[in-house]
Amino acid sequence: MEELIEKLKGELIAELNLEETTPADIDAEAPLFGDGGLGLDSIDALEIILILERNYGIKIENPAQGKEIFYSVKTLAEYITANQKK
Amino acid sequence: MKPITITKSCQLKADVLTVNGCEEPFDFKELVADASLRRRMSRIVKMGVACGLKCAEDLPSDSIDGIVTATGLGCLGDTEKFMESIVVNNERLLNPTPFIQSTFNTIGGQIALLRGIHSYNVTYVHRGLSFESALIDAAMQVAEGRRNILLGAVDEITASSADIQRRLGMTRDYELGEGANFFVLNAATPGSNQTTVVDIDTRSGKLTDDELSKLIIEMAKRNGINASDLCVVANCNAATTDSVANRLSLKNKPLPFKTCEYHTLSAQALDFAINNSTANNTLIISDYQGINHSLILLGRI
Amino acid sequence: MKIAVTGLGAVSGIGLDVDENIDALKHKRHGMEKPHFFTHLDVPVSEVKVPNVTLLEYLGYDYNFFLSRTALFGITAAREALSDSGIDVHKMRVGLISSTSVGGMDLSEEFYYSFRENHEHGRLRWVSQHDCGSSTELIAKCLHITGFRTTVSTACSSAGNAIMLGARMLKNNMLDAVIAGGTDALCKFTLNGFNSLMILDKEHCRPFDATRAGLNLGEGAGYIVMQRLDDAKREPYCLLTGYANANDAYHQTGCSPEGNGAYKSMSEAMAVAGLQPSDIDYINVHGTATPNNDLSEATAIRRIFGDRVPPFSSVKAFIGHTLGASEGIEAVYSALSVKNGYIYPNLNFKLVDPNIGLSPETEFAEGRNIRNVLSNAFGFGGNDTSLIFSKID
Repeated sequence: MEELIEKLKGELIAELNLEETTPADIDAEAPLFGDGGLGLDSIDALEIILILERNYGIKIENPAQGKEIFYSVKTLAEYITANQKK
Repeated sequence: MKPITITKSCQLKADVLTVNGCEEPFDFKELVADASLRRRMSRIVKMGVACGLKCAEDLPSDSIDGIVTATGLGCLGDTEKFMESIVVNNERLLNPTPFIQSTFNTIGGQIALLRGIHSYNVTYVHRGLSFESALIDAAMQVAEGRRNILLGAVDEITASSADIQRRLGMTRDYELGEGANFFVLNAATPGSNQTTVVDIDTRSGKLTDDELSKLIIEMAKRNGINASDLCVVANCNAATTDSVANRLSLKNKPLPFKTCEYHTLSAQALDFAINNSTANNTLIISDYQGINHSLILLGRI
Repeated sequence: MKIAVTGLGAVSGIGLDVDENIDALKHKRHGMEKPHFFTHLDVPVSEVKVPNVTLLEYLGYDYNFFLSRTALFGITAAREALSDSGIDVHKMRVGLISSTSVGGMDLSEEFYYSFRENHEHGRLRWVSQHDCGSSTELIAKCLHITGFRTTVSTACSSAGNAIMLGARMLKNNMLDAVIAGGTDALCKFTLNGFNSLMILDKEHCRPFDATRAGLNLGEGAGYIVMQRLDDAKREPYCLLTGYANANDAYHQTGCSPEGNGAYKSMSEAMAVAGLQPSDIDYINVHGTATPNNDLSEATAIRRIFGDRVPPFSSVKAFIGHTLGASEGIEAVYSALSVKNGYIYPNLNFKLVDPNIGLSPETEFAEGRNIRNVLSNAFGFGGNDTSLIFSKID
């Protein structure tokens, strides 16, 4: 799980162009969206959907479905572990 | 009608920012401090947003009654990026960001978003007359009683567009250029010794030097000015400049300006005129590829 | 000073001229089908149902006339509007203000396949109409318009802004007549763009319905001719009394939950027209059928009209979202709504969304007394435009 969390942090930084953010800056349990975390928005959600499908073979049809899955890096990692096909 | 004044002029060219003709140190990260707002911006968006924010920095957001922008080809880098991804990924799993950012009104929209400006926000995309269209709209807004209008023009060179324009023969006489220019327009306060926008005329299609001279004489006449007194900023080729100067019997030597070519170069010519002409009446003559022509008549107050 | 609407022209997935469009709206014939052009995307779109050559023939042009589909639609609709107005372009200052969101992208896409392999490849004629101004210049050329013309591009509200500029230029006596509206052809670029945003419904779209799941794209063009009322030779359809553009300044693509931009554009348009909410008899809503747009637009409408929301409907389930052409076509529909008392059906509405609590009109009606129609067009970059078409007193 730890390994996956670190990998995800790297992927988020690269795909979402999180300039000046290092993996160490991202708290795995902090909310990704809204205030108090990374402050991501709806367009980022679309890009995270792409990361899941491209890199882990997980398909999310409806962005609204991702709300709980995308809560934090940790919830993302848990979802991937449970559903990974690649 | 109250005069329409240009109270500020900013230009960003090759990473050099000038404000009212003076060079200023420029750091995009300072202008847009929030990294999360910067991260999706392409080069042209950064150019335009930086220049626009700098130009509007002294104005409270609720005093800006309009943002009017112009671009010949818009956010080409993002357009190509998205097109490439359609081909490479065969229409599957595409990143939406370049598509969103490729929209022509991205820069005007981003400035509104960053500054929380809820007023009028329109973008013109009409070849070599894009900036003139925006200027006409902005001047009309001021005449209609709006307060500050932020007027801008932005175009970028990309490797692909440079190759295409070269192949289309558009770079025969001049190198390709690019840049961002922004201005603040408002109703003049008397005695402020600032540039005013007096009249604008645009034409498409071929125009002979004789026809051009006639248009200038008509414009001077309807504004009560002797054409021979005009200080001409020549954003057109040297032959046309000489020919017009002769026909109008200009007392002052025209100021040559045109050194490169791109759709909204006339915005740079306006910045140049504001900072270099001391005459009471300045006329910017612009020509884009011999198919778009414009006259921008400036005054002083 | 009053601005009269004296000519109308429209081409869309439900008809090649205004009459065909209205007939389809009357009989609930929508334009949604699977795309005919090459794409892997399996989503309904409202395409103009004829190939370019047929349209060229319809217009009486040589089939070799090389035009982007965007320009072709623009010429078709603008020509109809001009001829409808009866204006002689040689006898007054006639302007053309056209809008488009993609210009000649349908051609550029073809060019790009060869060009990307080698920058010296690709036939130049396929890229020479890429810029948005190109379609406007081609329309001007075909209509013999030699005076002022320009092109507006503010995504999906573009044509509303073109019409607004036209009205202002008439009021400022810079023109005597103006043809204003917009044109856009479907292309891979936009279809994939909206698909990447995950806002395309794989089914026929359902504006304002509780089950709505996104928009369907469309293509076409719509233009209106405007003149100062005193100069109008023919009996005008209606007046353009109100217009406003405002910015939501909330998000690059999404709308604010409070509908701030929409609230501001609608309120300001009513202020320009000197109208109260109770004067509006019908709203042609933007109503794209995305969950976000319809909720935000409804919230803004509620803020203005309270419990007295006038009849409203979205035509997007007929013609799709035609982007830069959208408000051009819908301005034509709105003008006829005032003239003939038309109310257009909002197709596919069955279930009230509890978060919205409003039901659009679902049947075609005519002969209603419609004094003022409010027409909305909202776009990316928070760009919100509202127009008001009114009866002549």
